[in-house]
Amino acid sequence: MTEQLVGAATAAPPADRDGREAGARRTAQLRRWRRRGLLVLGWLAMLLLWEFGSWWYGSRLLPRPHEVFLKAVEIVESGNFVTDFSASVLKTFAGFAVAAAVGAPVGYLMGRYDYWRAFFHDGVTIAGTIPAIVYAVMSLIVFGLSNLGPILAVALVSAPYIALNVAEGIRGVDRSLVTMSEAFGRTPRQIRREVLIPTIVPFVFAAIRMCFAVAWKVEALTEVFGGRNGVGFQIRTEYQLYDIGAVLAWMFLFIAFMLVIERLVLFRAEARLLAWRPEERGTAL
Amino acid sequence: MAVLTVKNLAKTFNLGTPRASRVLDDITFEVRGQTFVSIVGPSGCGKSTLLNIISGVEEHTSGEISLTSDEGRPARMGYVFQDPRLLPWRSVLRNMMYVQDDQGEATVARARRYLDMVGLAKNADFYPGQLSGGMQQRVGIARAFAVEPDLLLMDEPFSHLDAITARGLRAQLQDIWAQSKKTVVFVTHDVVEAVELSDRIIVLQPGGRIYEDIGIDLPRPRRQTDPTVATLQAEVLARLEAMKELGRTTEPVA
Repeated sequence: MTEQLVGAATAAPPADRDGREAGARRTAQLRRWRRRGLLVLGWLAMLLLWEFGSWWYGSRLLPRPHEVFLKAVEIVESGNFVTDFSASVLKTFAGFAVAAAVGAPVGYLMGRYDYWRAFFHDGVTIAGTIPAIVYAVMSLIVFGLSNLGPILAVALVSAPYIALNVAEGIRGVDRSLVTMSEAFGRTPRQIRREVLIPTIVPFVFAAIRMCFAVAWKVEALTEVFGGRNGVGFQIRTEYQLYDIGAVLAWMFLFIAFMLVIERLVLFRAEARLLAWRPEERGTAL
Repeated sequence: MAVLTVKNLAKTFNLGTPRASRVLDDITFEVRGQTFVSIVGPSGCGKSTLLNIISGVEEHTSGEISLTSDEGRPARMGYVFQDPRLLPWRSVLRNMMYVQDDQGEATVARARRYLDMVGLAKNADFYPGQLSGGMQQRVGIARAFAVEPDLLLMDEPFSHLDAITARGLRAQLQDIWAQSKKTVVFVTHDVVEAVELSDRIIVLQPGGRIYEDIGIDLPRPRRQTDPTVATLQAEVLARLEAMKELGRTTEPVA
């Protein structure tokens, strides 16, 4: 009798279960569409606000959205886009590479050894709190109008973030996994490759995301102050010509490019490398 | 046939400081091949420390310890921990391959065979995070057997699991052991578990000395519900109770 009761309570008839599952799927789909709808509405609201601003201040002071769009098309067609963007991208990546080459080993030492942590900690913290504009100005004073200025500025801004994140990653290594590896006779090299490095990958991604957003701004800012090419240089030129439409067009192209890199490169690389994490599996598997 | 010899082994933590505490004292025993030995004793009597010393993860203060294999090659060891200790970024099969020296096809096939033995053949490509605690512990057991160790060390592998899962895993462990006949040193605080699994039980007392070495001569496979197993369990428990009473009336060993 008890078995019958238990059976009746736990096993729902298949038809009922199918109906419930279909209902849950429909609700989830509806929720997805509602989210997309709100996203589009948000964009429309922003454009309307912009149109209103253009009408209020006049399109000379604040060009209308479609004027800026046409200007962006013009910039892309003129070929300047490719030249200046590639100049900015190269400088940013070069700065990033320098930051990683310096920041990652410093972070490793800070995370692994208490003495090195004591040695570097305050210096890295101070370097991380100095405003980016100070780095931009200093780099220009040191390197003048050459490409090295923006590269150094990006490196100086990014290196502390990378060092601190790598250090945190190393400190977060699960000691029990290291003990397990030792008990099975794994070599220190194997432990570094299979335990330490995978542990710090999420921290490195956090550092890259954080740095990426800041590095671009610093790079462009340095070019505004004293560049001979690049997006910042173009923004300054258009500003001097009082062409606000072109300034905005360069800005939007800049944003679009950043989003593309963020979504297509960083997001995918993260989803692939961190596929083991439950929060990533939803997107990666 | 592998032989583990432990002779006059002692371990003192914080040696040379006012906080020095001896956790193992004059431990001597020998384990010959194809034997399942359990080490039981109350919490803090040095069971896990002894296992860590045997595995080489921890240093001992004095005494000798040796493990020989009869094939003239360095002896291999496998370890099953209290928690599964799987690399969360490697799939189940790749976790098993991580501890293997040889990465050839034969080794992969062996790893798959042991996965099959613990009923997880279909989960080879899953990440540990996609498995339940019991399933993860089964991977841990399969991983240790798959290195084909001369000596398998198990440190309370079922203590973190619920009673039903633990019972299922004990039965599975008996089956795998019956097929592979590895030399096992199994640490547990559960006497009932020790009687069910072992050929021999070494009882440690507080202070880290051996109190008794009990042989268990019962046919396999054993189940807790078997009356002869239950009787022996009661007898061993009574002896442990006696040890506890003795501890109350005498000076601490350490």
